[in-house]
Amino acid sequence: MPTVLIVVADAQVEQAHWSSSFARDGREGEWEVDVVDLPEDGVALALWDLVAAIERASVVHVARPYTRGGEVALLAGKLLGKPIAVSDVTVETSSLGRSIDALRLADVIIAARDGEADAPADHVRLEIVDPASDGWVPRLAAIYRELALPDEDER
Amino acid sequence: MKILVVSNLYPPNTVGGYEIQCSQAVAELRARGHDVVVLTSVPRRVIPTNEHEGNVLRTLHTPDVYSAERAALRSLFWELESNLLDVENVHRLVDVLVRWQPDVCYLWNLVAIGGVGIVAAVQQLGVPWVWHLGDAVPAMLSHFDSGAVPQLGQWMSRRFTGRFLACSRTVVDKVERLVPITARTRVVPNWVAGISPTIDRSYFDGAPLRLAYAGRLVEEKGVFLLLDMAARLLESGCTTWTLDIIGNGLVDEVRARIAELGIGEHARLRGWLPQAEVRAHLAASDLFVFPTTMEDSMPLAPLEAASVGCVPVVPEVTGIAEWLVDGVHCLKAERTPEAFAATVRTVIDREVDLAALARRATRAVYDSFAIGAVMPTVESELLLAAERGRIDVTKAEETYRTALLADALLRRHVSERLQ
Repeated sequence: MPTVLIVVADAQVEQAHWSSSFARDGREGEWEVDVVDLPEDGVALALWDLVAAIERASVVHVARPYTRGGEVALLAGKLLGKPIAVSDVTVETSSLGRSIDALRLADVIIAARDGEADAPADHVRLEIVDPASDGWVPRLAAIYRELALPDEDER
Repeated sequence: MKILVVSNLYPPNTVGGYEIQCSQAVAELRARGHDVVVLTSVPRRVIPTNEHEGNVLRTLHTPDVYSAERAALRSLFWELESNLLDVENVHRLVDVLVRWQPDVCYLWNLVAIGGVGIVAAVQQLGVPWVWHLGDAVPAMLSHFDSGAVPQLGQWMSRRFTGRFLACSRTVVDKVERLVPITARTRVVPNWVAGISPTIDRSYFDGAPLRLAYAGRLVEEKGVFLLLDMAARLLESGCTTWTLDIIGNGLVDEVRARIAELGIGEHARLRGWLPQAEVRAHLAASDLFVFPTTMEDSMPLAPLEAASVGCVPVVPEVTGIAEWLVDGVHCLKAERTPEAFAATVRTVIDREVDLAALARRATRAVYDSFAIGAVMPTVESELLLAAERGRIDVTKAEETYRTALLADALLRRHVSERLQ
């Protein structure tokens, strides 16, 4: 069963809807869901634990990439060659990601509504998945499946 | 085949044998019809401009890891750039890879140029690679912040999917402690270039035995143990020998030790000599006394010596000891001054047929360690690697952006660590 790792960075900012909801509803289907909460501090200490978790995952979903934890998760996902989805890009507590256009390291940006993400859409897919709408879980699962497929084929 | 060679140093900018081997491999591969470009560091001294050098790009930044003051220069930022990542070097590398699009990357010593980042970039771009290990470089790169980082080594082992050529099992074992690579490693010995199967020279006939040492004058190569050995010989009443010490490094310390031990009438410091002069000197010497540590992967000097009939005396356990047989091609001794002195004494006392030993050593080096004997293996590994993939130039931006992110995060980590 493929695994999606949802990394929720800087979790104290507000409760992450992706992790709690998808972890509950998403695993009704074909997905195993791991959730890692990364604190704003102590990120360096968490790096290797994160790497170990990402290695097991088929897809990495980084919620809040523009935070210190999100930046580390993006890098770890990239260094491990995993397909990466990002969301919650409006939460911004670190300027580094934006300064190097880090969203371009993602394979897909997931926004809850139009206009939420000023994504570099010429390079990265932008998908609207409104967690308040019906059917958002299968929609998200389909996105994960598309991301994971090349990886699964290689295996 | 288009081959991009990456090496921290490249002649005439050298410290030891690793980069000399690299340049010899480049010459041999070019002679075999391959198109080879070398990417190496900016030299820290003036080197002659050579219009024939061609295709050697001396553009990589290095924090001068081999300077004599390196211990004092050490800092976390220095270590970061040296071992983990030098983002400017990644940019230069990606630029060359995209513009030239080699079939394979042939990696050498990557210490001091941000080696982990170099390999990660090559990997991310999908360029097939072969890493030639004349030392335990992957393990050396897995050190940061005053110690080994086993998780980094494990990550390198799993994510770096190229092939390795290692000059000895000793090297593989050293790497393996941090970066498991055995399954993807082929052991090929270091080589000697420009040698003959036989040589015309005189051998020890009872005249003063001519001992020689050539290498860096540093503790780990055993130069101080060598001086203690010389003192033991004199203490035992054995005076029919001379010792020439060739090389640079801790020259003042060695000179002081010679004076302290009272061996100045027998031991002479020759300083640094060009390679051709070293070889000529060894051809006029009887024994090459080289009490290096077991950490020495596979020193070239004993092979050079054996190739000109100067019999190596080496420790029982070291990289070179894997390849030469005691009493057949060399003499081996426990790595103590007393044991080395006793071995030298057996030669002076004519208990060893040195001429026969020397002839066998010369022939063995020619048969097994001539560059022409080793290079087909190297070439076949490069060809096999080149068939496994192709550069994906569309990944260039992503590769550099990943390096920028890693650099910023590492620098942030170091800054906070130092506060």
